[in-house]
Amino acid sequence: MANRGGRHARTEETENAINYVQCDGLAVMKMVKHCHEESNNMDLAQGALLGLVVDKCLEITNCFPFPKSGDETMDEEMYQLTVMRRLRRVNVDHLHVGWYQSSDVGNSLSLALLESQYHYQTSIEESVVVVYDTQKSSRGFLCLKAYRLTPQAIQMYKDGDFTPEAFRNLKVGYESLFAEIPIVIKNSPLTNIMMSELNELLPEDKGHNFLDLGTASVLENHMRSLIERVDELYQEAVRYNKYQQVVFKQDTEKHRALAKLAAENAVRTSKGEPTVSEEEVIKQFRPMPVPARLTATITSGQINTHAQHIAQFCSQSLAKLFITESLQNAKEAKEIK
Amino acid sequence: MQAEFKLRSKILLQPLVLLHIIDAYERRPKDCTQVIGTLLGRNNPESGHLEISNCFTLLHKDYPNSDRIDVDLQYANDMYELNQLTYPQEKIIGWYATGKEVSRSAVNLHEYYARECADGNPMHLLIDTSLRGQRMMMRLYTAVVMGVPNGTKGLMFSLLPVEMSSGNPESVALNLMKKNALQPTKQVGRILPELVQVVDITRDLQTKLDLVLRYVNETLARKRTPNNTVGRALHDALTSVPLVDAESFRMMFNANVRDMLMSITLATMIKAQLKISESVIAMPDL
Repeated sequence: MANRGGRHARTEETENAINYVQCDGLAVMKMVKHCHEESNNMDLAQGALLGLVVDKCLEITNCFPFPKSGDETMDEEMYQLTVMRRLRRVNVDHLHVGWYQSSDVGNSLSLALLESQYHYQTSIEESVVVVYDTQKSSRGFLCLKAYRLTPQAIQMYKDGDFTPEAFRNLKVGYESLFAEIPIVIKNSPLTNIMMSELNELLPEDKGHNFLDLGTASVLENHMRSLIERVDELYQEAVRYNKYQQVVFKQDTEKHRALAKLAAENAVRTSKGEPTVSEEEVIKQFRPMPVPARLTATITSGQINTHAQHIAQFCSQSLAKLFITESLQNAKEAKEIK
Repeated sequence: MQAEFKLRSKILLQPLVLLHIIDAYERRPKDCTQVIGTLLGRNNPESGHLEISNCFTLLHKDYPNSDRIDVDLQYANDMYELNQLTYPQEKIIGWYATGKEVSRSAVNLHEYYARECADGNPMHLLIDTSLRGQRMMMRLYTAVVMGVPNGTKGLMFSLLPVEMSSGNPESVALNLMKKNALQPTKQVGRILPELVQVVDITRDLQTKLDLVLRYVNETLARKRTPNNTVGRALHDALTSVPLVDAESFRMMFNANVRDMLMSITLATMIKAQLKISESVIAMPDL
């Protein structure tokens, strides 16, 4: 119960900055275009988000892509500044409110993402990272997620202390590294008018491929990456266990040495000789470095999202299967007649 | 020139461009009545058609009732070069403007873009943002030279056929926005969970089936004159459901359901494990 209360207090803390993200259709479409174009080249797409903060809502009104990372000659900061300055002249919001990245399921919440987001959030407090899942979206489910680091995660990264104690003191767990912020897509009335015009022009059958029944390959992919992550976590667990064993062994040795010393000291005092202080002995046993918990925590977070995705995916697949069943039943009933 | 456009039978327009133009229009400077900008495009590798895939807004100053227009050309060049860095395959193919009709400055702009365009044949996209006739008109023009040979010549902007193009992922996003535009509900713009999406589409399907059913019943009751095309289309739809024999369908169905349930169980178990392991590690030293 205490844990739950603690988490509640934590969400309130994050709410102080931003409650939800409101994304313009234009920015969504730009991200979709960029991410899919890069995913055709098997590249990771990244870009900057532009917008403004109104009360507790972060509005993303525009975005622009970062150039391909292969080009080393270019100054990325310079590029960003130039683009923003240019866009400002046509009255685009020029507040840099975060960045976006294409990714496939679950793997997005990586150490690299944590690092970049840390730098963003320390320089611009309100910034978010938007993760766009290309795989899922090309199967018919628009998948945009906005994340922010929780205040504890920032504190932890700032301290650079990844020991289990530090994690415990800050109450950081795999669920409280990143906070997901709900995204809302909103268009201006004029855009909505245009959308209803488009309604007549666009083919009806596009974009409904999420009713596809071929689920085995998708599930297989999910499972494969889940297994990889679990393996990683296992490695981390093994490392931690080893550490615990070593510490335990050291402890027993220390106790033995101390007991020996106490006995010797007792003999010495009875003989009236000066005693040897315990510190001498303790010094011989250097404390073991504690393995960092950061990787394990991040991997746990990834596994958690994978598991969530799988559960979601399966539930909708089951729904589709039952739809097909009723179709089949109707067909069979007709045959019998 | 004209022959070229005939070969290029279809021009595809990405919805992103329209969204961009409307955004630009809404953000225009106070004293401006219209926005103009450069259209960028490329050849769609799948269909071979020319596709208008991107655009950027230009800084300009227009003078009503004259054909004079001042455009910041330096800005246009800079924007094009910046775009080249991220989308190197996109080339200048024309310009867009908002307004009721082709403006008087179009001839001047045409001259400029004819120089910038790779094939010397720029296109002009016109969007009526003033919503005349309760519609938002979108038209694509190309300028055709007309006049007397060796005599006075002029430019005529003639219409080009244009079609909306959107890849699958774009349609997914568009569908969602369309739904919001057409039926504003309380949860505006929320990205729905997958299961809800499937439920929604099932409901859609049901209403469509009801519609068809009503039509069929009315036709059978001689209340409606039968229509052969509709009948054939219905027949096609009915026969498109493949008949799988009961045995193999059961097999497939059961295997799939088993897989799914198994996966859900596994996923839940892993989640529980994670929780436990974290709690154990976070346990204070005794």
